[in-house]
Amino acid sequence: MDSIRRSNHLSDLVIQTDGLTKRYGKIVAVDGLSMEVRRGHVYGLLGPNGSGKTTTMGMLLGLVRPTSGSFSLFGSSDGHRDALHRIGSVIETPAFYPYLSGRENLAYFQGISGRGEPSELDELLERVGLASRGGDRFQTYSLGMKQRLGLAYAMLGDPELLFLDEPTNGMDPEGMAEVRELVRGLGTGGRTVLLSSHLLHEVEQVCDSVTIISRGRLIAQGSVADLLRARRSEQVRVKTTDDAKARETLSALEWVEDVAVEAGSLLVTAPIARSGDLTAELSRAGVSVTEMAPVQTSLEEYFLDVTGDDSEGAG
Amino acid sequence: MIADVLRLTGWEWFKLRRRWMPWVLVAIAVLFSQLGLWVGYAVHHSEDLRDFFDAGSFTSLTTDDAEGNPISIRVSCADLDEGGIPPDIEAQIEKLSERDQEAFLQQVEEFRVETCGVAGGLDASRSTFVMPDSITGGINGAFFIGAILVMILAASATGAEYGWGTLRAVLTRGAGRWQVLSSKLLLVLLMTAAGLLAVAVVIAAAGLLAAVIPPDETGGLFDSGEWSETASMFGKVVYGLAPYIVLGTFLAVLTQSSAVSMAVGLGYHVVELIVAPILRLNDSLARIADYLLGQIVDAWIARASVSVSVSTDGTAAERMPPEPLQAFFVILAYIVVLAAAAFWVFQRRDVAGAKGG
Repeated sequence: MDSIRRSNHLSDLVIQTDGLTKRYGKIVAVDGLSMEVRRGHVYGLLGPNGSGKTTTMGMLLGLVRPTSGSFSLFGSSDGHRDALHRIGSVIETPAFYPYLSGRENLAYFQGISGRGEPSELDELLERVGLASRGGDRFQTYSLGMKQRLGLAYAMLGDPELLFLDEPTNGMDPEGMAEVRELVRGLGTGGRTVLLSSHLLHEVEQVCDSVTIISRGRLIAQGSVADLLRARRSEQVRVKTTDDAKARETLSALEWVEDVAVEAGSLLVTAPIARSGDLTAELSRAGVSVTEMAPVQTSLEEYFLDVTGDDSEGAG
Repeated sequence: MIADVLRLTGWEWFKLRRRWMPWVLVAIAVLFSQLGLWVGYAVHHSEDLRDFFDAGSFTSLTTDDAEGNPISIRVSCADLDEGGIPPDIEAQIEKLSERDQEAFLQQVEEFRVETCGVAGGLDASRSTFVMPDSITGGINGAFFIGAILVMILAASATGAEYGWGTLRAVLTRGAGRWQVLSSKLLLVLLMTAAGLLAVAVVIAAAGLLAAVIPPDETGGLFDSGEWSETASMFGKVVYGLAPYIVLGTFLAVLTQSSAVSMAVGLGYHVVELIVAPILRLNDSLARIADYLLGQIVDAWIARASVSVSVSTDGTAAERMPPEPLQAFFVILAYIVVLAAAAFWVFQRRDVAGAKGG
C-alpha cells in the first residue's frame, strides 16, 4: 500500500531537483537547489535579480549543463529529449527569426518538434490575440506582441508542462491582465506552469505555489496561501479610545509579544486566537476598542522579508 | 536518427530559402563563373588577346638527369617563337637519359601545337564557352570564390542562431543538438551542390549564346572535352568545398557569432595565401605548406602548380604537389577533425540568449 502511495506521489511530480548546482568559475548561480513541482499547479519561481531563476530553468530545459546535482522531469531522469517534447517554454525575451512571419515562425518550430497539426497555428495565434498580425514579419512586432507570440510558441503541441519566464514583460496593463488570465487557465486540466516573474503581485494572483530562491539557494517553498498564513505573524492592528493606557495594559500581559505604535494605531503581536482575550483585557482596563483587524501580509512583504538584503529588485 | 536529421534539414531549408543571403551568394558565384566564359569568348574572337594569353603558357619536366642529379626544364611559348628549341634549353635536354629526351621532346611538340599554335590557342579559348569543357572550367573557376562563399553561408546558417537567440528556442523543442548541427551541415552541403548546378546551367545557357553570336564556325555546340570530366570536376569541387563548410560551422559554434566566424574564416583564407608561398621558400617547411587547407584542396582539384623551392646553397628544386588520392585523405581528415570539434563544442556548451551580430 505504501509503495503504491509512493508511486502515485512520484508520478504526481513533474519536476524534481536534488542538490542542483551551477557554478560559473567562482560564481555560484544555483547552489544545491532541491525543489518539487506537482502536476496541475501554476508554480511561481521568485527571486531577486541574479538569484538563479533563469539558470534553473535553463538546466531543466537542457540548455545549461549542471555542475552537480540531478533533476528529473515527469518522474524520469532519462530521455531528456523525450521529456522536452512534453514541455513548452519561453525563456527571457522571446527570440524568433526576424525575417519570418509570426505564423512561419510557429510553423518552423512545430515542424522541428514533429508534433501538431497546421490548424493548431491559427488557433494559437487567435488565442494569444495575434490572428490579424500572424502574417507580418516578427521584426515588425512590438515587445508585447513578441511576448504573445512567445506564449503561442510555448503552447505548441499542447505541452503538459510550461516554463514561462517573465511572460508579461513589456505588455500594457490590458495585455498583462489577459496573459495572467491565460496563464491561470493554462494551469488547469492537469497542465503545470512554472512561472518566473519579477511582479510579485502577479505571482500572488496567478500562482498556487511558489519557490523563492536567493543567491541560488532555496529560501522558501510551498503553496502561496500556506506561506502567507504562516507569515501572518499573529499581528493585529488595534485602535482604542486611549492608546497610551492600552499599550501599558497589553505590554503587561505575558502572552503579548510586542506592542508598537504605528500610523495612529497599535500594532499588537499576539496569537490571533486570543483576540477575544485582548479586547476583554482592554475593557477591564477601561479602554474601548474602536477598530481591530488582523494584519494582512502580501507576498511582496513576505518576499522582501525572506530575501533580506538581496531584494532590491526581484527578477 | 537519420530521419530526424532529414526532417530538420527540410525545415532548415524552409528558413534559409526565405533569407536574401543564400540567393545573393549564388548570384555572386554565377556572375564570377561568367567572367571566365566571356574572357575566353573575347580571346577566341581577338588574335591580339590570344597572343597575349599564350605568352604566359609553359610546359615543364622535373626528373633526374642521366647521372642521377635532379634537373628541371621549362619551355614557354615565347621560347618556341623562333621555330626551334633555344640552345640553352637544348643543352639541358641533352643531359637527360635517351628515353626522357624522347618523351620530353614529344611533350614540347604537343605543347607547341595545342597551346602555342593558333589552332591550339583557338581550342583553349573556345573550350571556355563550348560544352562540356565550358561547364568543367566554370565549376573549377567557381571554386576560387566558392570557398569563401560557402564559409560565409555555413557561418551564417549557424552563427545567426546565436545572434538572434533562436538556438535556445530550437533546442528546447527537443530537436537534439547533434541532429540540429548535422542538419545545418547537410543543408549547406546540398545548397553548395545546388549552387554549382546553377553555375553549370547558367554557363551552359551563356555558352550557347556565345556560340551563336557571332556564329562559331570552328565546331559544334557540344564538342569540347568530355562530359565525364565535367561530372568528375563537379564531384571534386563539392568535396573540395566540404572542409570550408565544416570550418565555417566550427568557427560559428566556437565564436557564437556569424560576423566573427566569417571574419576569422576569411582571415584564415587570406593568411594562408600569404603564408604558403613564404613557407615554400624553405625546403623543410614547404611540405607543411602543401598540407594547409587551401593548398591541399588545390592539389585535390588539380589546380596546384609545380612549386619551386630554393635551398640555402642556391640550387632550385621543383616539387610536385601531393597526389590526388593523398589529398583526398588529407581533406577527409580536415573534415573529420573540424566536424568532431564543432560537435563537441556544440554538445557541451551552455546556450544563452541573443548575443547580436
